[in-house]
Amino acid sequence: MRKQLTAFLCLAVLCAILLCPLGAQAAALPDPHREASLALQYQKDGQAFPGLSIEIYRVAELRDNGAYFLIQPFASYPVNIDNVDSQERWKHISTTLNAYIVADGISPYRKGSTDGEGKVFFGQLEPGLYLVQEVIAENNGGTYVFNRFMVYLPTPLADGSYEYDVEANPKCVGYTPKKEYRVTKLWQDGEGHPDRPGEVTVDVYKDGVLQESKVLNASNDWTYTWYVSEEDTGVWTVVERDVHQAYTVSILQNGNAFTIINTLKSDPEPPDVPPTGDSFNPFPYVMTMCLSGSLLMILGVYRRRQCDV
Amino acid sequence: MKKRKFPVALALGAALVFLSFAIMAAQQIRVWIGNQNCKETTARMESLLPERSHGLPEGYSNPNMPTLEIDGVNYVALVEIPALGVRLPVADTWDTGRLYDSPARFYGSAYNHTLVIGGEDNANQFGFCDTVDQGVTVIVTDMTGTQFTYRVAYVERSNTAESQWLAGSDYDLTLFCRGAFSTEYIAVRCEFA
Repeated sequence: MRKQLTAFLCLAVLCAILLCPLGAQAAALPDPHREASLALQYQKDGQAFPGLSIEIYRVAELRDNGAYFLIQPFASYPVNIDNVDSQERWKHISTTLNAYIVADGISPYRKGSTDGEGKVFFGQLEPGLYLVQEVIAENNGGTYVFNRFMVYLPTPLADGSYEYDVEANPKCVGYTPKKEYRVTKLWQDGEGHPDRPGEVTVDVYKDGVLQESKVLNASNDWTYTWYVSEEDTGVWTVVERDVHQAYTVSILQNGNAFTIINTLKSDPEPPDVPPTGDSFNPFPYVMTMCLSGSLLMILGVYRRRQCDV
Repeated sequence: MKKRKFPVALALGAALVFLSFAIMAAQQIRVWIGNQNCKETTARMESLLPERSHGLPEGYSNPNMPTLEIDGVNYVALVEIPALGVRLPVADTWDTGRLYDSPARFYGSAYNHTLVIGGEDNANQFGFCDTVDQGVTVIVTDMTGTQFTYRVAYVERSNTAESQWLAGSDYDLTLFCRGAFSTEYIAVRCEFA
């Protein structure tokens, strides 16, 4: 009985030794049934881009053997995604796939929008190979292009394990600065005038073609600012529409800044020199009050002590 | 009976001292709020002004300086003294009740060399009037971005707030305030640089 038990234990140890490498190999394969997630953050020089529409496409699925196979509609395109060994090739693959996406109007697998920090999160994703679409972001400073790229979910790590919750910061690969134009409304009507309108309308033209009409008033500091590409060579002009009959208009341009001045037609009477109006200075009175109070307090304490004695 | 009088004097004295300190504290709070408003207005004005230029703008024949309305207040200029780090908006309408918010145009125009600007004597506004040196550069920028550069010629004092004393001088620019701790008026007379 004892010999049988020993033989059984030996056999068990042998089996364990033999099966161990297989177990290790099995652990090295990604799990095609485990959910993954992808978190992206769109930032450039610490500047976040909120409200960007982000599209991702599931290009290939992960099989049990750890291999990736193109899925429909991408499977119908003769694109090789095997043995990709350079970023350059991934770039070519993403460009090629994007060409088919555009040509055939393929809908994205998932869509999302960046939050105030430029972050977007895609959860509960099936494992596979994903294409993250290129994004063009604009703000007053310029136009930014964030790259299109491919990502494995899960992503293999250097130690042989896999990251199922992947975080990535898409790279800004293009930037075109913008230049600022501004129009500001000024009044030349003495110290305000009852005829001064509460708002004015300004038309903005580029090369003589009306681009937009803007209302200037106190809520926008009588100013409108617009931004155009640095490469723009158009000639921008502004005019004020429906100028109040009590005023004439003149437009100044200083670089990219326009100033529209409305001048009262009837020259206002030169104002009299106003009274300064502030001949009263409270400081001496406050000092007198403080000193009087102090003396009263000293007197009070002194008399009280005398009384106590 | 005598015992009652002593606490009354003491209480009255304490009340007067407290009241005077309360008035001074209120004054300091008002100055602080005014300084914050002034800084905010200056920043907004800076962002709205076009590139600086020299020379008189079109419409020079009209001595009225154009105004820009910010938060319901018409501003006529930005006054700067680079050597002292002073940068202040100048309201168009003279109102001593609003001087703590920003200096104001008391009289005249930079276009015809008669501009007089008044402010408050505190460290964040026209406190420099008492100590500014001759020859210091003063820059007035109107709302079209046109700059007028002056140099301090001399500092004048008066015990009365005579409007004609302020506005009737031959100097191109006058900056003035009333001493915070006195009834004396200080006028900084400037000439075109």
